[in-house]
Amino acid sequence: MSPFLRTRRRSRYAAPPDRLAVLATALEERKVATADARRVVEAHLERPGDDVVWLALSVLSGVLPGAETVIETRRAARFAGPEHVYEVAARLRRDGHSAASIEVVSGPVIDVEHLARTSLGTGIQRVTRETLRRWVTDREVRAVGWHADYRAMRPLTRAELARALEEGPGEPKAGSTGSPVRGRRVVVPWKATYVLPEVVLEEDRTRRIEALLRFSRSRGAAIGFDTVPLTSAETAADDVPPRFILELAALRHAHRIATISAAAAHEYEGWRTMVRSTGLDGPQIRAIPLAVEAVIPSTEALAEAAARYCVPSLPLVLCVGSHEPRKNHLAVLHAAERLWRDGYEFSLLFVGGNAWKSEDFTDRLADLAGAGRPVESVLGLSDRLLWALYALARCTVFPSLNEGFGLPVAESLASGTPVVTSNFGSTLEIAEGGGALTVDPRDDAAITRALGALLTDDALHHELTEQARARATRTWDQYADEAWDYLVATNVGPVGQDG
Amino acid sequence: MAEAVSWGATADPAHVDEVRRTAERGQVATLAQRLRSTALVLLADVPAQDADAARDAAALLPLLAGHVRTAPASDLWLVLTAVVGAYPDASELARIRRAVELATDRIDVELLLLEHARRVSLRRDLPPMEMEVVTDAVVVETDFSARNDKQTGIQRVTRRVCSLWSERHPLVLVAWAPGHVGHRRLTARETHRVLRHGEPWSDDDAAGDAPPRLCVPWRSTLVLTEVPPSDGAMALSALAESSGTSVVAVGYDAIPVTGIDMRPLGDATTFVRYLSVLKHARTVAAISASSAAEFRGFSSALAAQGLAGPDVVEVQLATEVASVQPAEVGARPVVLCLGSHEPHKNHLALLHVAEALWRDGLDFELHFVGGPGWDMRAYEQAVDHLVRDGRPLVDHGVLPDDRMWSLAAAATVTVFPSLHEGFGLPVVESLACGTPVITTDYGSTREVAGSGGCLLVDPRDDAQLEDALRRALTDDALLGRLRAEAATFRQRPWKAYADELWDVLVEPRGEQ
Repeated sequence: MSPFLRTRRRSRYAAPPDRLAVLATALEERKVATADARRVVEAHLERPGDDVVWLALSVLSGVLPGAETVIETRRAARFAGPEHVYEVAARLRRDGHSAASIEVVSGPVIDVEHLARTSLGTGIQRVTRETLRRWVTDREVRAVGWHADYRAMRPLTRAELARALEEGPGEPKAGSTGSPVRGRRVVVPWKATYVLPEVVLEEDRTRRIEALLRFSRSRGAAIGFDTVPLTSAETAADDVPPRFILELAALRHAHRIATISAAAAHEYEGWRTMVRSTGLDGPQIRAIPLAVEAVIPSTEALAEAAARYCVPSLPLVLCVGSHEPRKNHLAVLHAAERLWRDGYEFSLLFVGGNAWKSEDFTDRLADLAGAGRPVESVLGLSDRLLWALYALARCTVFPSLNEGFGLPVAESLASGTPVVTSNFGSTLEIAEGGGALTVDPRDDAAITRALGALLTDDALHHELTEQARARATRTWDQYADEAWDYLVATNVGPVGQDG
Repeated sequence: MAEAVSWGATADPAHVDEVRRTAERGQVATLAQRLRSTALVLLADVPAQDADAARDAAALLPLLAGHVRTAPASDLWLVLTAVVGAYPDASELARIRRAVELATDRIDVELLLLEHARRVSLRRDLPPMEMEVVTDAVVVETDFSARNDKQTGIQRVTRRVCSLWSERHPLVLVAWAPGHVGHRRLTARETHRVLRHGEPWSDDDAAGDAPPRLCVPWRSTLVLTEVPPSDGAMALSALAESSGTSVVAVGYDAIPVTGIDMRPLGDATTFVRYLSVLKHARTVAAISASSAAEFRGFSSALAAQGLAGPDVVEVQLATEVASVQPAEVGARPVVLCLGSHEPHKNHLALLHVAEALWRDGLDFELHFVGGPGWDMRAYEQAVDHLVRDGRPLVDHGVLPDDRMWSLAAAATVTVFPSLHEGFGLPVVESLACGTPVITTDYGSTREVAGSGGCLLVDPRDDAQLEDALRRALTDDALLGRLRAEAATFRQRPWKAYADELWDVLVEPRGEQ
C-alpha cells in the first residue's frame, strides 16, 4: 500500500484542523480556535464566492490554484457542499509537495522570484533590485519568491533577500534554486497589496498569479517595462510572445501598472484599450520614469578602460546594448563604414551580449574588423569599466527601434557624453532633457549624418556636452518613493470578487 | 553566368549530371523570365528577348543592378523577389540595401545579388518558378478559403466578399506558393471554391492548370480577408513596409492577445506575427465596434516605436440567416446554445446554471449545436455527468445551417454567454429566427443586442446568468416582449457590407 493512497483516504473527509484554524482566522479576521474552525469554515463554504474558494484551496492545500480550478470547485461545491472543497484541496496537495506551514499575509507582498533565483545583470533586474533595496529599508514589506514547482509562493529568508539585493551578474544563487521539501513554507496573500516588479514568463506561475489577482481580494500592481513581445514580435524569439501575452492576461486583473517611461505607458494604454473588449477595465497606468545615477569612474578604471578599449589618438564611439535586431546595430555598423570611407577617424566599440538573431551583426562586424576597421565588440563588461567608457567616449549611439526606457541613453547623458538616438518613444523622452541628437533610426543616412556631425563639429559637441552635464539628475530614491506611492501607498479601494 | 546560377539543384546519384543540367536549365529559364517581367515594370528600355535564357538573364541583370543603385527601396524589393524567386524579409532587404549602397560599381551589385540568391537557396527550398507582376491591381489573399472547403466565419467573409466584389471590379485572387516564397494565382478549382462555394464542381481538379507562377503585386492594394499563414508573415510584413503596395485587412478579433488564458498559447505566436504585418498596413476594417477598439488599441501602441499604425475603421459585418420552418420539438421549452465548444464560449457556466435550475424543478431541455473546439475535457465531463443524472440535454454536434436555424426558430431562448467575441454571430442567428437571446453585456454581443430581444448578463457572474435564464423560462410577459423585439430584427445584407468594405479598404488607393 503506497503512502499516497493512505494520505488520500485519511484526508478526503478530514481537512487538517490546524489549516482549518488558519483559514477560519483569515476569513473571520479574528483568532478562531481550532475547535471552532471547522464550523466557522463550513459556514463560509455554504454557497461560497470564488474568493472564498480560492483562499480555502490555497490554505488547505498549500498550493495556489489556477482560476479554472477555483471556478469549477465553486460550482461543484454548490451542490456537493464543503466536502467537495476539502476533496479538491486534498487532490491539489497530493499532486505536489505538501506545505509544512501556511502563512496568510496582508500588507505589501513583493514578488521577486527572478531576482531571488538568479542574477542576470539585465535592466529589469536592476530596476527590481534598486527598488526593493529601498523598500525593504524604510517600509514594511514581505519579499517573496516561488517554490521550484511554481505552485506556491514562499517567504524569502533574510539571507536570501540579502543575496538578491547584491549587485552584479553571477551564478544561480546558492540555496535559492531548490526549496526544501520538508519544512516547505507557503505564503498566501489575502487582502494584501501584491506587487510584481519583474516580468513573468513561467506559465505555471502566471496562471496562479492570475487567479491570485482575481480572487485574493488583494490590490494588484506591477512595473510595466515595455510591450515589445506584443507590438514588436518580429524582434522576439518565438517562445517569448505567448508567455508574455499570458502575463498580460493576468495583469488585466491588476489595479495599477507603473511604466518606466511615457512611451511604455502609451504601449500599455493601447493594450488596455484592447482589454476593454473583454468586459474588464484593466489596470490604471502611470509613467514613473526610471532613475539614472551616474557613477564617477575612478582614475584606475579610466586608465584600464583606455588602455584596453581605446585606440590612441582616435575618438571613441560607444554603442551599449545586446545585439538583437531591435537594437539596430547593423545600422550603426553601416553608418560607421560610410564615415570611415569618407575619411572620418574614430574607433567604434560595442558593449553588450549576443542575443537572439545577432548572427548578422556578428558576421558584419567580423567583415569590417577583417578589413582593418577599428571596431570591436565586448561581452560581459563590468559596471566599473562601462562607466569609465561612457566618460571616455566622444559620443554614444543608440538608434533602437523600440525601447521601454533606453538605459544606455540615460547613462551616457548622465556621464556628460552626447548621444545619437531615436526620435520617438522613450529615447526621445530622455533626449528632451538635453545632450542628444535625435534621428529616424530607420534612416541610415540620418544616423550617418548625426554621427559625423558629433565627430567633427566641436562646437556642436561642446554644446551637447554642456547640455548633458546640466541635466537634472533623477535618483533611485526618487524612483522608489514614487513607485511606492503609486503602486502601494495610494493603491487602495474596494476589491470586488472579480477585481 | 551559367555557373553563377547553378544553385539549389538536388543531386540524384543515378543521373547526377543530366538532372543537374535539366535543373539548371529550368532555373536559368525561370530566372530570365522573372528578370524580364521585372525589367518591363522598372526600366524604360528593355532589350529584345534573347532566345537563349542564360544570355537573356545575363543581359538583364546588369540593367537591373544598375537601376537599384539609385532607385527607391521598393524597386530593390521587386528586384530581390525576381533574382531569388521569393519575397525578401525585412532583414534581407536591409542587408542588401546597405550592401548596394557600399558597392563600388554595377558589377559589384550584380555579384552581391547573385550571392544573395545563392545564400537564400542554401537555406530554403526554392522551386523554379516564373513570375507575373500585377500592377495597380486589387489583389486578395484567399489562401485558406482557396485550399479548404471548410466554411467558418472567416471563410464565409472571404468568399462572400470576393464573390460580390468580382461582379463589379477586376480582382486578382492569390494564395501562397509552395514554400511560402510568395503569392500565386488560384487554380480554377480554387477560384470556384472561393467565388462559387457550395456549387458543384464538375471539372477535373487539375485540368488546364499551368504550373504555379509567382504573382507579385506592384503598386497595388493587397487585401487580407484572412489571417495569413504564419510562415508567410515576415515576408508579408516587409512587403507591407517596403514594396510600395498597400496592405489592407479585415480585422476579426484579438482574442489570442486579450483572451489567451483560454486559448492554446500557440495562437498567440501566430497572431503576433500577423500583428507584425498589420503594423505596416494602411487600413484595418474591423467587423464590430468592439473589434475596432481592439485593433485601435494595438495601432495606438505603435507610436512608441515611431509608427503611425493602420487606420482602423468599423465596417459592421453582414449576416444571412434564411427564414426557415421551426423544428418539431416537444412540449418542454428548449434552451439552445450555438457555437463551438471552446473554453472562452463559457459553456461550462451554462451547464452549471442549467443544473441549478433543473434541481430547482424547472422543466426545460438544453440543446447544444456546434463543433468540437480546443480543450473539450471539462465540457464533456460536465455533459456526461448531467446525462447520467437523466437531465434532458442534447448535443447535436455540427448541424447544417438550415437545421440549426430551424432549431433556433423553435427554441424558447438561446444562450450565448461568451467571454469574448469579435462579432457574435449566434446572437444574430437567433434574433433573425425570432428567438430571444441571453448574452454578454459587453463587446460585440452587446452591440448586436442594441436593437432589442436580448437579456444582457455579466458572463463571469453565474448568478446573473441563472437569474436571466430563470426569468426567460418563467416570465411569460418578459418573453413575449423580447420575442416582439426580436421579430423586428433586421440583418445587414452582404452587399452593403461588401460595398462599404470596398470603399474603406480599396477606394483610397489613389490618395497615397
